[in-house]
Amino acid sequence: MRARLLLLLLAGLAWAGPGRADTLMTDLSQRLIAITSSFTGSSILVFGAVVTDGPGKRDVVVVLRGPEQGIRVRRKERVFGIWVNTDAHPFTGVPAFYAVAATRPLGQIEAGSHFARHQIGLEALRLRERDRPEGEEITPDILPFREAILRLRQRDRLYAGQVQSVTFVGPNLFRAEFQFPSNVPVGSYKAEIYLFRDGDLVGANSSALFVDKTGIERWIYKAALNYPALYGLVAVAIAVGFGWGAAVVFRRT
Amino acid sequence: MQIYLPIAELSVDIFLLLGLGGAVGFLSGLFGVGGGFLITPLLIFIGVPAPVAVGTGAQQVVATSVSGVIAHWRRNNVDIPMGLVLTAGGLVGSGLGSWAFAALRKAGTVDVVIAISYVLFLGIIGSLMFFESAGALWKQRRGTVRRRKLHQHNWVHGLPFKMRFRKSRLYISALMPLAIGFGIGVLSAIMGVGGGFILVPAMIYLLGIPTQVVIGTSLFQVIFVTSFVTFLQAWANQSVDILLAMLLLFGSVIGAQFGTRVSLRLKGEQLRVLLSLLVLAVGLRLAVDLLVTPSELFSLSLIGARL
Repeated sequence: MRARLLLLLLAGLAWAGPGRADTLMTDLSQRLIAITSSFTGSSILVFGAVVTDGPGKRDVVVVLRGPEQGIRVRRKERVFGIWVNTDAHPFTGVPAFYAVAATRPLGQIEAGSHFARHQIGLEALRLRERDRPEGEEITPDILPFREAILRLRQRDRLYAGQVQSVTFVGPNLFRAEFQFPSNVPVGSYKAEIYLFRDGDLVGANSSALFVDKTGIERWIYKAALNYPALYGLVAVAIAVGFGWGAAVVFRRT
Repeated sequence: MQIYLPIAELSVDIFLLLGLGGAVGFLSGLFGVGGGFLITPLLIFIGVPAPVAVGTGAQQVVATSVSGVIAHWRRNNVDIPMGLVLTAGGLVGSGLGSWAFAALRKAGTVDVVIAISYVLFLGIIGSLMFFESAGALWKQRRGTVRRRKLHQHNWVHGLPFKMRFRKSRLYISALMPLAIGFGIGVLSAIMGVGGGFILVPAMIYLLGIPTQVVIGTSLFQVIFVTSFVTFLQAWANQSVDILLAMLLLFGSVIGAQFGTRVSLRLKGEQLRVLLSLLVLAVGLRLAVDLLVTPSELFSLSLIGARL
């Protein structure tokens, strides 16, 4: 299947031909990350082809973004000699997963204001404090809370702290591999591919992919969500049944 | 061998869960405590989100307690009327406790109050129990033990609504266990624990019930409280992971059976010494958590999860 996709891309390249502007074609190795009971993480390949028209340094940047969440950040402080949670700030628009890959370190890529506009790179993520109008700057006292989100998410391997590499295979084809840890949140994800040339954004593509539970995992998850009262009763019944069963078995032996 | 947990949303080793469950189940059968105050922090430690750890821990404790109660029941060590009176007080108390908790939280520094009172409480109960039971053991060894009266008669015995609790060898006012159940209910709602490790010393020292009967009866009461918590957590927060609970309780129901057997071989004083050490250890750990500068001052939680 991957070979066929590559063929398709090559055909596209031939069709694009010379004389046209910069062309960017991309695809993903899979559109669905299925979480089964033996799931321990997964990886995905983003690949594509570029044809640039004329000279100039070209760069490909790939962003993989998870669904947005609301997150409450709490801070501990010393009160009367003991450490307790004191401050809490809610944030919105926090991606559940975020990773970037690029042909060079982001700092070396000329991109003008595009990184900020498209939220490319952890520094450019617009994590907004809830109850505050969009566009308003984060005040300095809130800054440590924003940094805490980035730091803790990197610790849990949900945000890629380091920019992974986009590698070129030959003059036109590129690929970038992303890893999902086993604690990857479910939901709809987006892979965004940007093509820069000499500080200009000359091409962009995006593809959706889904992370979802399958089989027994999905069944339990849906039951808990859709029939919470019944699920609770079943949970208690299972516990009582197991306890009873163990007592009966142990009496015999 | 790794398995993915559908609600906790992470993958963990099956044998780690079986072992964890077994160890906590053993302690539960031995002392008549639910084990929630052990399993919940352990689950959080291996990466399970806190609300899921609370909800699933409760479900696991239900199974362990049922297993333990049946084992104690066979040895005639469960005082059902006493258990029911305690439960009735406990349910009313936990209702009021949840309300008080919400009110305190609104007022502000509730975390400080809870943290300090928790540590003090564990420390005081643990030390009192330790000195009493170690002293009793010491006297026995020296052979100077006098046969004590079953219990002292005081103003408590003048209260109305007297009931006969045959297994506990008590004829006292039902108001007394009702009040204790109520107090434990308030505390457990505020502290977020089942309260078994507070209830056990309260039954021994305040009510004067024989240690062996206390364990079975306390577990009986724990079944109702934790079933209620499990249902509430599943219903309100969708935070009960049945798959995780099944792996844990497979280990813990077996552990509880062994724990019960060991508890029958030990003397009441010996059990009380061991339980007091466990209570002190948990208190110490909490105190260390509060006093030592944490490596990470910040924590994240999803908005929408109610815990």
